[in-house]
Amino acid sequence: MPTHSPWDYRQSATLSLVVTWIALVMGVACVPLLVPILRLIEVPGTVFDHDFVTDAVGPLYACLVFGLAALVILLRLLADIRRGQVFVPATVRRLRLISYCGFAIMAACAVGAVVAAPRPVFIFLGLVAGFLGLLMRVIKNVIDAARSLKEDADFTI
Amino acid sequence: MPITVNLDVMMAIRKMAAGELAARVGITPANLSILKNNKAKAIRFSTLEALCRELDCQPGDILAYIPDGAGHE
Repeated sequence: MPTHSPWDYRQSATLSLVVTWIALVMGVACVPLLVPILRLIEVPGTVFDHDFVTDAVGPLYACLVFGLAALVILLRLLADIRRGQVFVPATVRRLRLISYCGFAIMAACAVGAVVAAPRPVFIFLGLVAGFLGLLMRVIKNVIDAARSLKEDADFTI
Repeated sequence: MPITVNLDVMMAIRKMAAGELAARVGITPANLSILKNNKAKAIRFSTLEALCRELDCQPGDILAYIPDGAGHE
């Protein structure tokens, strides 16, 4: 007996849109709050000392900027998906840009690993961001193939 | 694309308008336009059959193979 899911893709995209908006608002709130938050975790005499906070601010802000850019692009992508425009060139372009944001965050973390200690923090963050960037790139390839198939189907008379 | 669709010629010979042909074949005028303007990537046999039936012609009368670069000689 076939089961009917209560969710269709539009409702799912709406939920994703709401969650992305929440993440974006939190990210924007972090812009003025990043330094105060880092000061809170500052513990003199440990690796999280004043020098770490000073050195880490730049790379962390860079990560924040690229992260916010990725969220904005994701919002546009989800809005298109809600309208039913999924396998279109714009989707491929946006997924490519999101993957670039992931790689940019990885590069910022690489800089952070060089200029700020403890390195493992930035190395871990960089690897996670790089992996997510790679994942988005693969998803982009899949969507591009689907776009091509759809185009063939649309232009089959 | 080396395969060209010469619907205009047969439509002129049979004195059939695009809207009328589209309705008889069972495709939208937009899809017929895609065919006529050589923007189609593929054509179903059922569509080709309907076109040949309505235009009273053979597939070779509306489809032609022109190799890339042959038109420049």
